[in-house]
Amino acid sequence: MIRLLALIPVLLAVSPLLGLLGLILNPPKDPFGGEPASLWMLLSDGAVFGLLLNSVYVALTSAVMSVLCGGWLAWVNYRYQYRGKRLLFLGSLLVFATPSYILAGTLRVQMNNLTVLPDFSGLWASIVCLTIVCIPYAQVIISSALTRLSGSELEAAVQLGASNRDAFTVAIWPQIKESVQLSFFISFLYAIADFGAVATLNAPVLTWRLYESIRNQDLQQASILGVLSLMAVVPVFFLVNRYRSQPNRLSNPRKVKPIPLKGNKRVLLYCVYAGLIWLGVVWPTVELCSWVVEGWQRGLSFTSQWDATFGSLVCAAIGAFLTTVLVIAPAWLYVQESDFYKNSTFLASALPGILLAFGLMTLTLLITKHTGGYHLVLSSGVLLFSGYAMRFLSEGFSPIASSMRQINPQLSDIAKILDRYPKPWVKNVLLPHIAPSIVRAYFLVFLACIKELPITLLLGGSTGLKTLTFRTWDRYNEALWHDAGFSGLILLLIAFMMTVVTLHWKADA
Amino acid sequence: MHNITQLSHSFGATATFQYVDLSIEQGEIVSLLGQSGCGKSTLLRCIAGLETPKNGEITIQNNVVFSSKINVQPGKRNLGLVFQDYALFPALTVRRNVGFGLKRIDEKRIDELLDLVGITECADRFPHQLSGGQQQRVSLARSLAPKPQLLLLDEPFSNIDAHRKLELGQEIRRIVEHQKISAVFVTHDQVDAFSLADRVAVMTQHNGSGTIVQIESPHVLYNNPISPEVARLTGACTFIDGTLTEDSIVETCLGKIAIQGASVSDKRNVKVLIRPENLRFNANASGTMVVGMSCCTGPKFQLIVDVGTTRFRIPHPTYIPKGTRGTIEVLAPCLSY
Repeated sequence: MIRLLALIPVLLAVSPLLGLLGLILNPPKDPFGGEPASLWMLLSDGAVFGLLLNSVYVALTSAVMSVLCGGWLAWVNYRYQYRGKRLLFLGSLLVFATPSYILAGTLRVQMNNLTVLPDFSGLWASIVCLTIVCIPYAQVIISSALTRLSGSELEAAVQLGASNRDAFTVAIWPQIKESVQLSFFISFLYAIADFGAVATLNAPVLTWRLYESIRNQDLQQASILGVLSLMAVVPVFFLVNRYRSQPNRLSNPRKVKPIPLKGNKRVLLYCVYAGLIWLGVVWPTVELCSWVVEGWQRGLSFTSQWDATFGSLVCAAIGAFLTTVLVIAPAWLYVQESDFYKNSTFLASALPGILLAFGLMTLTLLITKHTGGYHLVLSSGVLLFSGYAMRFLSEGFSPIASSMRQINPQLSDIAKILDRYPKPWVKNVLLPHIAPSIVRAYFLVFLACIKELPITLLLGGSTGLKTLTFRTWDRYNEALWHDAGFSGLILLLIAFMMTVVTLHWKADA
Repeated sequence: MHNITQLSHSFGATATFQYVDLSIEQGEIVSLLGQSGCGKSTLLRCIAGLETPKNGEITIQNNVVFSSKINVQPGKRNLGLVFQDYALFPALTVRRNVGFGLKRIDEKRIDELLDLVGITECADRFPHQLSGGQQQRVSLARSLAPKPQLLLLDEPFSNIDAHRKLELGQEIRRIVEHQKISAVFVTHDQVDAFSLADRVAVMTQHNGSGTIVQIESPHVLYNNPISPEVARLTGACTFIDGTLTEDSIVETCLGKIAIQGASVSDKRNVKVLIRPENLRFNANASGTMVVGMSCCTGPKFQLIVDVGTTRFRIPHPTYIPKGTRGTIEVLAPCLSY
């Protein structure tokens, strides 16, 4: 039974790939009656590879910059003591809550008001936005690696007269190297899969052009762009997996005693934190507020946001519930048996949302070509929630699997000896232990679902459910900024609340 | 009566232990003593049914629970198991931990066990609110709840303070006797093994896999180890090279010493086993041996005396300063190999 349940995420992971493959092997007919372009013709179009290069360039640069900045913040937070340390660290993590399209949209308007700067759009603007969005990922991964280290090696190096730099190189770097590499690849994956920022800033990259191709019904072009996206993502996915498999460090290490931060370094740190929190949290909020106030002052009519708020909450709640339930069986089998279950759940989540949505659509199209009922499937929300589940399986998987791994295997041995395995053991031991992590996983996926844009755009429209992401995107593109600001503000408020709750939730209780 | 006959186990191509034979009488406590990695914990897990042996037979109370044709599930073997880190269920109170193995909640039985192990006042606490010794008692009570025929204890004292070990060991003996069951416990500590067990089975490694080399009562094992390896595992000792000059007399670095039953006609070169309590240091200004160090071990002092390349540790009732000259006397005939 549990194997059957664990197969669902595996099937979900391969379904968009099957859809994509089906579309390539069975290209749609030209609406004007001509022969469809051959695969080779499409692939030999240099512009397509230009998009791939652009995507890799944006992702690579954003990942390097975010790892440098996030890694430095994590190191300073670990090694030094300074005023407002905890508050600034938490404040910088609030950037998690800001959707990339809101960040890009608000920054674009603000930056373009500063006439000294060039037009804030295209590749370089995307790099700025994605760097800001990825910094917290690098910060959290590297911080987590640092907190698992014993402070003894560093203190021994300092005691022997090593400079701070030498102590870091000798005692710390070898132990956190894998985490830094992991944070680089995760940031790279996030940036290359991003749709919101690149679409808002009109950057010529794969995900944005893929969406445009789908919108223009050019499915063959879309399939080529999808394949290229896969080519960019899959190798990095395997590298991420390699670094994820590194063994854990000490579970309860002796912490290093932080030393006071002084001089120029302290000024620099406050500047970096101020910049990050200002650009990633305060500025988008202030800008959205100003759009609303301006609309109110000009007497513009506001659309009621109740339906969109309700729709967002419902979609996120169902998506998070489904994802969390689906994740339990593979997480259990991963802890007990094999990496296969982890790899399959992470593979689905590594793919760009727009590609997942497109793959799901094409697979449904291929199947319903024979059976009929495509619109019924689309409007039922099955595709939307499957898309959410596929995209965010990894977010739910990590906390639950990590909590399951902490269970002493001798507890199940004892239950077996006492002939109380599996049911009483699951009820009395497993569930009480993993319940807080299930709740945390639910919060994480809820936060991710409520911010999600490309899957909601492609698969959510037909369900009839209005969502805040859709409303913000739609109104922004219609230049109805007061409405976009209003829905964006509500979205930000919910996301901030969820981030704070998630950060404070004691999953290891 | 519980029997293990010709039992072998391997992890893949690596043999863990081979051809192990062990019999446990009703009401007897047997200790498996051996160094880390010799397969003693794996043997215990095989008895429990948590590992599957390669071949051999296990009978519990004369019922076959493992053979080439039978492999009874762990829960159906009627055993109790106590791990070294207690493995209590963290979300359950002491009372519910103890009652976990009962098919139906039996408050009377739980109270009886809590009373037996002396933790009645902790019944409503959670495991993290207990000391190590209390957790060990809960673990013991939980394993006894379904009335097992054989109790298995895997390094039960390794997380307990030295001064609490003896007390807990005596408690376990009392409880095992009270419940009229047998017990097998695994340890690498000779003192634990000798203080609790009726018989001690010494496991050693030969060619990478473990086997039981001697099973005796603690007293016999200590005084008549069958090999130098068993002698080292069963207590502090020193081996010195010697040459038999006549029957039962060996010429060594300590001079001529008497050994038990060895004939010149058998062999000439032997290794002589010296237990520390079999030596006495006699201070004497004309002696050739010099005290290198004198350390207090509590009730006595331990003198370190180097003779050639051999180091002797000799108990002494009083303090003797470093550099004191004297001679070493061997008090009783020794064993030789």
